[in-house]
Amino acid sequence: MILRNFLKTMPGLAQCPDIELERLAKAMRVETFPAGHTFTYEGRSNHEMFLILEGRVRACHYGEDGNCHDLKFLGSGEFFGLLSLYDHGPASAACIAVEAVKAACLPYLAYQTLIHTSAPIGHYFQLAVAHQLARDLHERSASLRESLKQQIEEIVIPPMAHGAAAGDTPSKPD
Amino acid sequence: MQQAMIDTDLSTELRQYLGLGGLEVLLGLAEVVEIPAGGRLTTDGQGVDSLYLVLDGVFDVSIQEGGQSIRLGRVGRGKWLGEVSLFSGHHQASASLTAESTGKVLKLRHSDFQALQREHLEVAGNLTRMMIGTLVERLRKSVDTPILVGAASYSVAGSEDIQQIQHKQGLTGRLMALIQKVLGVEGGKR
Repeated sequence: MILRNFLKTMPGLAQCPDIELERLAKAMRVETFPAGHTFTYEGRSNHEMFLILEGRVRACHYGEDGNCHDLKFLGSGEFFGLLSLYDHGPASAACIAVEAVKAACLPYLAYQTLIHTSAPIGHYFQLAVAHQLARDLHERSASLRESLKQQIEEIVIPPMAHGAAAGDTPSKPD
Repeated sequence: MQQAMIDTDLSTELRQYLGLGGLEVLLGLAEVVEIPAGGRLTTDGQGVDSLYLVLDGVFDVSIQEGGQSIRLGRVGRGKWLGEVSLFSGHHQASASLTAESTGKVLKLRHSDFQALQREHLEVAGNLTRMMIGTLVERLRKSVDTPILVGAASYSVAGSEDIQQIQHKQGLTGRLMALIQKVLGVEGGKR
């Protein structure tokens, strides 16, 4: 697989000239990780971001109950390990290889150089990162909405049972 | 002309990211739109084709779920809206935004953002960098341990087992608190 060609298929990078993609590809290191490999540990700093080329990665978060809850499964063409690189905080989730994963890794310093450069690749790369973050937020929102919908369906007693129009009852958030 | 409609603080913040030339390019593509009190900027689940920056006023944020309208909070001046739709490719509003009083927004159509990418890549990149900070902050908050907030209390009709309902309201409140964080909404009374 030629990494430059793979990058070209990603949202935000499709319009990027090949010569610029080649610069990005050269800054990345392609590596294969075995199933069960932990890329990031929740609460610890990570020093690189990853782009999945092949395989699946499980992102999970330790809840109050001490169990690791799945946040999402990531697949080919998805970035992870982005938050720490932007705000220098600890990883918000553990990311673990579900199966053998081939990933392109971008070290923190190379990443900083890329995004602070005025070269076109810096701007294209910002767009690719924004696409990933927005997709993550969209999925998080959709999953929370689905859970909320289920909760509401369980809470609201059918109107006929109590003679009250439950569906018409406005919420009182404050 | 449009720059005069943006207050000094906001203009300074935008200039920090975009530079004076970049701000002029952005304002050349965007339009300032006045929203009357009660006017809708977006409707939950409906199509959205623009990115907005709140220049003035406060917008009430609500979602429609289970046949009910649930108020999550409000957003005000300096807040970007619609960036998740723009970048995720899902062009549906994730909440309804209603002006509490007459408001003013800077509106940039998604198609104009694409034009910005083609013709002024540096401005598009810098604008994106500005919004990445917000996306990162919202994502990080959304995986923090959920905290039940007062603003997320929720009324239900009819109850046979008040303890069960209170327990479920707690769960609902936690979910709503997380949704607030994902949407970047502040709680608070009108």
